[in-house]
Amino acid sequence: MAATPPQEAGESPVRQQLSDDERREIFVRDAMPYVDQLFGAAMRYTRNRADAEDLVQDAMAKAYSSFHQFRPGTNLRAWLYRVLSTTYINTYRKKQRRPKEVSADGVRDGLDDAGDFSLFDRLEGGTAPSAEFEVMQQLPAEAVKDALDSLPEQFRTAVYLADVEGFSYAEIAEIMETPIGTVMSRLHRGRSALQKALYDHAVRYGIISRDENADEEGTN
Amino acid sequence: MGDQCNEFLDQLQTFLDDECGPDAKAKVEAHMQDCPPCGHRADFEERLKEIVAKSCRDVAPPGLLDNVITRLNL
Repeated sequence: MAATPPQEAGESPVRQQLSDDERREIFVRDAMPYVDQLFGAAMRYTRNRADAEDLVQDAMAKAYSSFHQFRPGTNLRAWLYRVLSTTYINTYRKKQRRPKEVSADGVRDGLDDAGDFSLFDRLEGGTAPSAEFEVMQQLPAEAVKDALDSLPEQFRTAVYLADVEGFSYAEIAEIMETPIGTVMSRLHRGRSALQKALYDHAVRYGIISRDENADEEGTN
Repeated sequence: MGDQCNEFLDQLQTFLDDECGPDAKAKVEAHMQDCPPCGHRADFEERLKEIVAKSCRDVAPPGLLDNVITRLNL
């Protein structure tokens, strides 16, 4: 059996039937290549490199010890991200103490109402055509990252998984253990809040002046 | 803004995320052709997604993989 290793995950034998050595071999071959990618997600959860490193290590340890639960032929990458998410929620989130962010949707999710903020609508008025593209190009990567990191966890995670990692709604639903409708709502509200944060950063960096786009909001 | 524009905006997220069905996709694409402001809006949102994707990556520390290997005794 070991002489003919499966060519595709879909053809893999059921994990329970594997010896420890075989299981290790498959884990090293299929799961370990995701370690560096998982670090990016861990950074969005913890927002700090030391915790992110610990989180990836803990999540991989958890993934390895429960690898027999992974169903061959299903989505290993999404499964690993889900383990990372669960590990974060069970250990790190408690430590980080962000009471405003932990409750379920509909209760209090820590996202102050960004309403339907649209950066496009905001930048369109009073500026030259295509100015909104210019503004976006000028924002340093760090500012964009800061803006994403300023969102409550559930929203920044959803936006990160969709926009940076390119996961589908179904995969994000699996990773976050939530219905697809909730994923879509988090993406919609999260992106709106992200655009508001980007707008505020653009003002702070002097890329756009608050005066030019004055409105009812207070000044920073 | 007409009804078609509102419908377009409702569909824009799933369109940009490549999550809408073929009929909805064709409708969105047709409207983008017919209505330059909405086409412009779609370009903007798509560009923004790309900027977020490009900006929000973190490079893993060089020793991370080795640390995991050691930790898991692989």
